[in-house]
Amino acid sequence: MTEMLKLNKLQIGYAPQGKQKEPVSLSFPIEVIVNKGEMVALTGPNGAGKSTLFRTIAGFQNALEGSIIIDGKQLNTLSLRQMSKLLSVVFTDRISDAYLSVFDVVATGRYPYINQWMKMSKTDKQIVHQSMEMTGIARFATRLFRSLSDGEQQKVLIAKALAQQTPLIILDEPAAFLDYPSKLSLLKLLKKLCNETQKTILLSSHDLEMIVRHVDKLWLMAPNLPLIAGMPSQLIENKSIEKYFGVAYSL
Amino acid sequence: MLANVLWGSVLIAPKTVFEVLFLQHDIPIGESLIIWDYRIPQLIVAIFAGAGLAVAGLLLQTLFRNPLADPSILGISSGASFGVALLLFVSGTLAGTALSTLGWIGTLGTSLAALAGAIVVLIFLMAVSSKVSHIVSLLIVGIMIAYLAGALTGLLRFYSRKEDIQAFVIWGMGTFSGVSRDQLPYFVLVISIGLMASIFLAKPLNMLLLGKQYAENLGLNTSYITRLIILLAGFLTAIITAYAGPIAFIGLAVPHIARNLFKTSDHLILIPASIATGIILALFCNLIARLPGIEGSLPINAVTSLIGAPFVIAVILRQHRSNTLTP
Repeated sequence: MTEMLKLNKLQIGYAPQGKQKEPVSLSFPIEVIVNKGEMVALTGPNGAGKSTLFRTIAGFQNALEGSIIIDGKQLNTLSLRQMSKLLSVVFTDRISDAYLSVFDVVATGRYPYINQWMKMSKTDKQIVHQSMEMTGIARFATRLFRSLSDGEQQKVLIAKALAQQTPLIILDEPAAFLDYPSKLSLLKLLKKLCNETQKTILLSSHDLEMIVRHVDKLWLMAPNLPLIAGMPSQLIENKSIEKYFGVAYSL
Repeated sequence: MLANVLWGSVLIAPKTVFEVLFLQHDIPIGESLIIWDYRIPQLIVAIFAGAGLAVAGLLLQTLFRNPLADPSILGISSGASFGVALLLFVSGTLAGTALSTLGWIGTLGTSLAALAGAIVVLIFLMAVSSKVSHIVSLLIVGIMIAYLAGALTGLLRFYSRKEDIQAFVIWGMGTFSGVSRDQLPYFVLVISIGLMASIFLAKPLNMLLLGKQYAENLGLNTSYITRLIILLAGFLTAIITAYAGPIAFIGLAVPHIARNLFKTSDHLILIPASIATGIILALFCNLIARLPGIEGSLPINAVTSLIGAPFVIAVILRQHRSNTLTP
């Protein structure tokens, strides 16, 4: 199997600022590998540093120590442009613009590939349409983005990530605002993308019950504990989940 | 546009206007002077000021993702006002010469003082924007600068002489006739450069609609673009405010009108649309301000707000209704 993402002795946190001389580290050094086509969920109690880890992998903030290797390339040697073709994100930022249509939002996924004047080729448009088909939102193409429900908006953003044609997709709490059926359909969609298009997907979630049933691997994070990775069944059996969440857990 | 040349507080017959514009001989000298030295420059200033303020407003509304952002929000126009107040105070109260008695030197001095004030604020903002990472912090700093400059201006006015205060009040009302014929080409050139530069920001602006993180993930260097947008919007505002005074409302209203008329968020359309709408609104206001029968001309600021405010309210109400109706 090919390695898609490798975190090498990675330490995340915040660099010294103002009066504070020492960096604030949020984790033990993280040592973990994700293979191509895998679906991995990061979970753990609040304050474990999940969002910080994702922001660091996405390049929004710098690592304190260690390195991030995406598809064999060191993250800190990549330009923003190169990054945009390797990794796409679905984050919790709200998009509230009045006139953005669903098509417009998905089409931004093509921006790293098109020039200044944003003229899309036939292929670009095809990719946008395919991405919408794959996520089941093609019928909304001309609707205003903000008129959709949270679950539908989440799918539009996933379609945007698909249009960006990156091997790795990172989703920060994609299911946070969704009701049960929407959560389920979202996870099934992500699983399908992994299986059919060989995308590597990394998501964070608090819905332990749901993710253990759908993902290939689980990453556990908690304050004062190192990040560990494993198959969900393993981590349940060896009581790791109990240890990281501090409550009893069984399937 | 034609109406802007035809109408004015001095009544000139349309026939005479055409003679002045298109025939070289047999023209009455007084009317020729009014048209070439007064109405035409005013028309050109209105066109470029309207376009420039509209684009500055659009850039800032997108950058701050805030529909209430406008060129005055960063404190640039307040900086310009402070520059003018300071000049009037120094020359009037300290040096003993009322600036208003100095004719064209006074006008040029006012423009330069306003420009200096605006540029000082702009430089300060650029320094701050490289330090703060959160866009809202920058917005708050801008608003604080506006208050600060406003307070200092108030203090200066308190100690200034009556004639100077009056001159300041008149400058603050805004005018499209503050650019003399020899300065006009420079004004036009500088604003045109700003407007053309804005078109090159269309793609980054479209990305910014999704928010900072998505924009960055699409390959945009957001901190660099933020500084570029502030520089460009600030530069347009500074030049226009220096010559035309702090003109309210065009920068706030026009982007809303353009978005709602064209029903798009694409800046490749919105930038030209805002330029066109800005020009039309500025010319219309210029026309209203100088309707025949009104003594002198009305302050532009009052006219832009009087016309712009109801328009924006109507546009917002219409948008709201169309939202609730679409399934």
